[in-house]
Amino acid sequence: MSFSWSRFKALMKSDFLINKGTYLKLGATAIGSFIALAILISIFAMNDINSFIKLNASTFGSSSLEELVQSRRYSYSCTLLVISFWIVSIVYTVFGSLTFSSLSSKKQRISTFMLPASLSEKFFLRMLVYLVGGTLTLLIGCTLAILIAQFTFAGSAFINILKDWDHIWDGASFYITMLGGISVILGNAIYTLGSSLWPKLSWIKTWLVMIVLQWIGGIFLITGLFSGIDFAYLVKFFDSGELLFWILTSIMTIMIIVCWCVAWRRFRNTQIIQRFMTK
Amino acid sequence: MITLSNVSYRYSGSKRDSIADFSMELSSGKIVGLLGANGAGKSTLLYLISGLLRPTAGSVNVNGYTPWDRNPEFLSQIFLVPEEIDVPSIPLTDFIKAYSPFYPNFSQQSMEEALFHFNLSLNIHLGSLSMGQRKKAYLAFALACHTPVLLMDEPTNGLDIPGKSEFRKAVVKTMNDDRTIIISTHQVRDLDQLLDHVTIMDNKGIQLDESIAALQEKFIFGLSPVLPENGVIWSEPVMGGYAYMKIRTPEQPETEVNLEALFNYIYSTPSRM
Repeated sequence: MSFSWSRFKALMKSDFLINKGTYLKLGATAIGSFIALAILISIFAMNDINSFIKLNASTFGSSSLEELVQSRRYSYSCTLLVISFWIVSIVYTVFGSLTFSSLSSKKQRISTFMLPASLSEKFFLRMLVYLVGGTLTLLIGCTLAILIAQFTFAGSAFINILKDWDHIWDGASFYITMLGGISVILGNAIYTLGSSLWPKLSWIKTWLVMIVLQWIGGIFLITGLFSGIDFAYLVKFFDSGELLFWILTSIMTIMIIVCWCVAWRRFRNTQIIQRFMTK
Repeated sequence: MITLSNVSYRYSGSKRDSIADFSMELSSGKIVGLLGANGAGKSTLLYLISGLLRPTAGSVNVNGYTPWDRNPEFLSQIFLVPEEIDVPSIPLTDFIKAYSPFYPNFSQQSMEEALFHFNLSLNIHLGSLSMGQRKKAYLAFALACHTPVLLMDEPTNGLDIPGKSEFRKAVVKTMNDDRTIIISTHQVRDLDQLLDHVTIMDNKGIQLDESIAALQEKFIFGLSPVLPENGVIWSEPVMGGYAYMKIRTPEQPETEVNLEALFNYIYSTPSRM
């Protein structure tokens, strides 16, 4: 596996010159969706809070009114964060499914594989663009959404959410946050693998496969329940939540690595004419 | 030097080899015409030489490299112009900036000369060109890279009549003793007077592998209003009479090789060669 930093730099420069339009459009769409969400929620929140104040100013005292307004700010901020998380999860899978989109036609495969750079350089560039670049784009999007909310309606809501998040799960917030982060990366890795298997219409094809796998999993679970397997006991077996967390984290991390390794293998062995799984 | 030793390739799902037990050796300094009907395996052969396909049997060696290893040093010494090209919608200057650093022998002067041949300039946007013009710009870049091996798959497809003639001139201009150019086509007339060597293949393998000089020594190619009576080994009616092929005797002068006549002769009677 040969890797030269100077050639990798040239490859990055070349890729940016060729695809800058596509990358800018993708980034703008992803960030734009966060901004649109934040503006939409801000408009709703401000209208709601203003009309609430107008209607109830005479009914409540100023301190209890402020408390009620705070709870509304809090609830809208939570909504923004939850929807943002969903956007991150979905856009991350979209980025994953675009990783090997440059292999979707014979013409593109020729361009990709005839370019004088090593396969590892080409592979890492795809990962850099869609995994690292995608992560940065989503972070920028989330930050902008929070800033918009902060400047319009949120007040101290985000600080309160952060404080509550630390207490509400009785110290488990770290584990929950970690699991959330790893599951998002796993989603990206699964769709990256899908992209290496089906560069064309990759997202839809991977999604369908995931649905089928979930169905199979569901059938397995139901069959297990009916045949008397006590899943609750299995969960209790891991006597602490911490152990369960580490087991889940390890399984997901292994799955991420397996997805990336299989994608690399598939990329390395791709021939110009594929009669299997590329159509 | 390009060497293929007993190479076979079968596409997955296919019941027969696209290329079976194929052997060939090409030295540098030649422009080779790879001729054959559709489906003869010409493109497959080019893809095997460029490492885009992995042979199912046998070995391919190009200037000491195994193409399937896709070594970057090997890739910087080979350029493939596919039949359908993937050209991004960007200014040509950006295209050159993006790709030329990967080809150590790239010459800006050759690029400008080739563009001039094709009646194009550097200040064009690839997205605003017709398919034929885009192909000309791509061919100009391919020629300007001066890679020791240049493979072209149906390069004249999509070119207009002056474009085909300019293509021939541009190829000759960039040719030197260290370079091997392989041009695969079924439009044999487009390569008239360009080739040093001809390889005619069908799906059973190579039917002819000869230099143009050897063919000129062996055969006479002619056009006659009436079919000549003696020694004709192949003929076909054309506008104004008959195109024919005869075995040449030492006292007869050499003639230009009529690639179309040669191709049709080989395809109609492959066993004779």
